[in-house]
Amino acid sequence: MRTDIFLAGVGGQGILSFARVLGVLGLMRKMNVVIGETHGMAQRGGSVTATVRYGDVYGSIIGIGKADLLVGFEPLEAARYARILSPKGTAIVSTSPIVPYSISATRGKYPETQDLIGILRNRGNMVIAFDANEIAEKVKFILTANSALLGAVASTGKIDAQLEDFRSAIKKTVPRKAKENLAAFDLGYEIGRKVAEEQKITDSGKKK
Amino acid sequence: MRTILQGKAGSDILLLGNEAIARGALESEIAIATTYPGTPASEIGDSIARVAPDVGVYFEYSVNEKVALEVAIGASLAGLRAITSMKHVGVNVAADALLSLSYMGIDGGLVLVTADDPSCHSSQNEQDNRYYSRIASLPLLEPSNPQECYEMVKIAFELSEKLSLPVIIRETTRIAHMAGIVKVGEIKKNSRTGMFDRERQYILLPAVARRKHAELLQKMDVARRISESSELNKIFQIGKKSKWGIITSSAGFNYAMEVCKDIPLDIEILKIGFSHPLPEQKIASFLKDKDKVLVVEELEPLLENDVRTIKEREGLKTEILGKATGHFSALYEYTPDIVQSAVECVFLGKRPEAERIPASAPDLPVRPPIMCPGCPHSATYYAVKIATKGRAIFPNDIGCYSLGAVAPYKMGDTMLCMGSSIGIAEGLSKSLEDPIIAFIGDSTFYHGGMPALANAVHGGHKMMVIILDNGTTAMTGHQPHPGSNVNAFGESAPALHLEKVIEGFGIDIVRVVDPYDFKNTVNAITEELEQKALSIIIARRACALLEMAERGKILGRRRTIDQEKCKKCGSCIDGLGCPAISRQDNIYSINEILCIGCGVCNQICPHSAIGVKK
Ligand code: SF4
Ligand code: SF4
Repeated sequence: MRTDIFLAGVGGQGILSFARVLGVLGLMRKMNVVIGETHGMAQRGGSVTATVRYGDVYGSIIGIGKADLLVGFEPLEAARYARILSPKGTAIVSTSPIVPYSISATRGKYPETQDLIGILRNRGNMVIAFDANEIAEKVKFILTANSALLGAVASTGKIDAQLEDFRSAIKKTVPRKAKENLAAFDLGYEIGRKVAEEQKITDSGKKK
Repeated sequence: MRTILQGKAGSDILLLGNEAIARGALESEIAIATTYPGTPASEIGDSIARVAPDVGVYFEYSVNEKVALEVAIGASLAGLRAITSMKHVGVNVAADALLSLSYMGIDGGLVLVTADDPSCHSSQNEQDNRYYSRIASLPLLEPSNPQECYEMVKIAFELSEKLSLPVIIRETTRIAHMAGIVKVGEIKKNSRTGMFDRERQYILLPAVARRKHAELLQKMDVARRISESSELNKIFQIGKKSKWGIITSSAGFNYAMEVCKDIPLDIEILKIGFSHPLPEQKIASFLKDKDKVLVVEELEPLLENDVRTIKEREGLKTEILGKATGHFSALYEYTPDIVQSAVECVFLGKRPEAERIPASAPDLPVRPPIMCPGCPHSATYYAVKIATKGRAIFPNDIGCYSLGAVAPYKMGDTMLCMGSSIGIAEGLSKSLEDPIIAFIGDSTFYHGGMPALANAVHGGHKMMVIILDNGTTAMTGHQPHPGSNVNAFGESAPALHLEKVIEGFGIDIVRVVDPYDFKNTVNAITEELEQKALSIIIARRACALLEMAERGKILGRRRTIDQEKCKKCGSCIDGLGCPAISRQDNIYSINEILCIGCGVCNQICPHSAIGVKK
């Protein structure tokens, strides 16, 4: 058994803390867990990735097309790593773009967010896309955006853990702002569930 | 915050490879730990720094790797245990000490950790530091995961004292920055009292050195016997007994295990954890009943060449595959996909995929690393660009400010190794008529720039050196250096006074500018350029990230662009290059989440279009 989660975003978005919450979750569930982190030069505003792997794993790198979950903290970065997802994998994407300086510098254009999400959808993957910053604004604490993404992760059921395990992992890792983070987590969870339901309806519609 | 002190003996905790090394050291009664920070080694020192006072360890961020090793040697010669850690190229700096230390021998256990960086994630080269174990003649251990990082440190200390030799542990980026579950033991404080035995000869005069070399060879014979029976060299059988095998080490082991289990193959994997001296008999007997053996190791074919030698010497028929047969490259780090394609090619006869598919899509806009919003270096570079009109040669150095080499500044004509900008500038200034402006950070200046500056004074070299003084070692995580007024534990410490240090070299005029005061910075550089002498400018402003962390808030009020006043001249993007400013469809705007309110863009906008956000 193995669950592979690939995280992609921009340096400074709190990707390592996110990975650590999933690490604590694994430890609590007594699963083998391996995390791959990015440190150093890349963290300076560049493309940053991390991996979280549960179960029968040795190294920290996930093979192409093997990830069960892709969590994109930014739409361009999510699309960039689309091919890491297995055909049955789910992508969870926060839709607020961060325009790379290099696009501005070359007078280029940041791709349409819908097109970026489309790259993932067109591969046949289930995509849960929403603006996590908006949720963070709702709970009045900007740093909770990642907890909303975590809620969506929990909603997929791909990680062998109960909702309460996720909640206690959050409490353990961010004890100071636990209330706000749990509120954002719940909102993210709801969005994830709804998307999954809609998907089911359209899927069964197609079959008929 | 994770701490390496958590977890009682016997419990499972989640640790980064580097943290696991630190934990292993704290369980080995170390008295001293030293380092010079460098990715991917930094977290070893950082995590010891956080707890050192509580566990009675002397820890320091040394001025450079050579000094870090020498301080550790001093402790060892007093009979205490010491660990020093550094990135791979840092060992080059320490090599002068290391290569003779193996002759000299040690007393208290001494462990040197080298963190190699295949694929150059954060480095200027991807040298394979396993070579150091060969050239210095020292035992070498190679962990594959955090649990092994932890265990191997403990083994290394025992081995070091048994052989009276330092022991090298070599990890790579993927091992250093991989977190996993580690079963820990008990933290053990140093219980020894330092004692220096003056009868032992730690002095390498030629006559002594000749004798010591012979002793070293004997010690390595003992090490070889230990390696033969070491548990660190172990066979893993996957599926049924078969005539196929893999010999591997470090990260390669992880990928080989996963790939062979997933396919699945019937195969035996010999994992080499104690890789110098090699367990030659163990390898010979592994080869004996195999038809085919694939060697999986990143970078240089050290293991592979040795395996071939053993095969020849034993007169075996086993087919050895690896780099020499074109199944692997000596370039870059491996991935499960790379190992899978080699394994399938060798054992299943599948044709290797022509192109390796990279994980990232090539057709989307890239996002390379950049300097942070509000970084004082951006302002300095732009000021130099205006003062010189870009007409100068710019030797650059190692740090965050290396990013000055890319657009929009393009002020890095050379970038070689720590401290090299000044020395290279000297040679250039003697060879060219162009103005030469060397950039160097404060930490890098103390690390390796000072001897070159002494040379510039004595040699009468005419050039400009701009010291980008942000008061910290920013790139690797804001470690203090000799110019900082705090030590590793945040306690106050004597700080070297940079201006006085430079004046002490005999340079009378040292100009100090604040890059956030843009106009004055441009003026100072312009004036100094006219001197046509050796001129030193210190561009001093605290690292924006550190300053914000200390203040707990951003630096000032966020800025915004008045669209009516903006003439779309591009100075803020193509000149200053603050990444909080973006240009989409020729509309300039400031991202309010990214802006930290440094107040530089409003100074440089020629049309006064930028103001504070209401
Ligand atoms: S520098 Fe000022 S006028 Fe020029 S593009 Fe930027 S905001 Fe507009
Ligand atoms: S004030 Fe201007 S230069 Fe400073 S961070 Fe904000 S946008 Fe960038």
